[in-house]
Amino acid sequence: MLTCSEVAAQASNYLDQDMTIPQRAAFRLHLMYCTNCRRFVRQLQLLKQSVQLRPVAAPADDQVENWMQQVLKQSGAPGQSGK
Amino acid sequence: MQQQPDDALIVLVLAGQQDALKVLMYRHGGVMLAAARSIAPHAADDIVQEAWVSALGALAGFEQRAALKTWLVRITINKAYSFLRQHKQEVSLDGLADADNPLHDAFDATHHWRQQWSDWSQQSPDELLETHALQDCLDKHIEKLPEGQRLVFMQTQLLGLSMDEVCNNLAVSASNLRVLLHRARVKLHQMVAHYQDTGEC
Repeated sequence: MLTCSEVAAQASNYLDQDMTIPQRAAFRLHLMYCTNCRRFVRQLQLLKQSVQLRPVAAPADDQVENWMQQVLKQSGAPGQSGK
Repeated sequence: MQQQPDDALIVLVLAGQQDALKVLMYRHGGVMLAAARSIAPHAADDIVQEAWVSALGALAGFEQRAALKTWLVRITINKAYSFLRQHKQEVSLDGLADADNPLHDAFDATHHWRQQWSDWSQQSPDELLETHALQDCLDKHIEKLPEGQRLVFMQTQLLGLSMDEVCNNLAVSASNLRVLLHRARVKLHQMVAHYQDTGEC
């Protein structure tokens, strides 16, 4: 039977599905009877999902303008404005 | 033009439409900045600028085997590492020592938790994201992670790069990468749990 410290150490492997079927079964068995580990793993999963869903901030207008100017200057500009 | 998919915009950029390039910069510039910041925070803007110059030069040969975003992030990361090499800086991969293991003192002699985790009021990822003070706190703690843990966490979780790619970027073995990622997650979990219990960052 796995201990709490073993479950905690393996929690990322469980969340990333990086476990064999017997390892996964032993892990889930521990979660069935251990509230604290169940909560820990559930919270770790919640955190993982929320971080992956975080929107990345778009660049500022002046940043994009600056990149455009530099890129066109340094790359010999592929053509003209397409308006 | 803002609604056009990447492949249509690439065709327009190659035909000389600067507006299409600008749309791509708005669409992918944020993740490129995040990639550059993860490695060389003080030079991120210049690195992304260089990455765009290179990307534009190589765009005609872009074969769309990978998504454009992945390709741009890869170019950005390469530029960031060459920036560090030029400035004789090295990426440290600390975070593997015992002292950097956030679980090192979490269990008693019988391998049971010393701490009981309380329930969180937020039950979904969206609810967590909507707790803005918590997100600010999370950013602060990501910055404070040991360098190796921070790099692995940012590249796999925030930038969505594959484990193989990050192993390659950081010259780290797959097993060490897993340890660094797990430690980063556990550390951030401890921080969020503390925030949930006390309301303090």
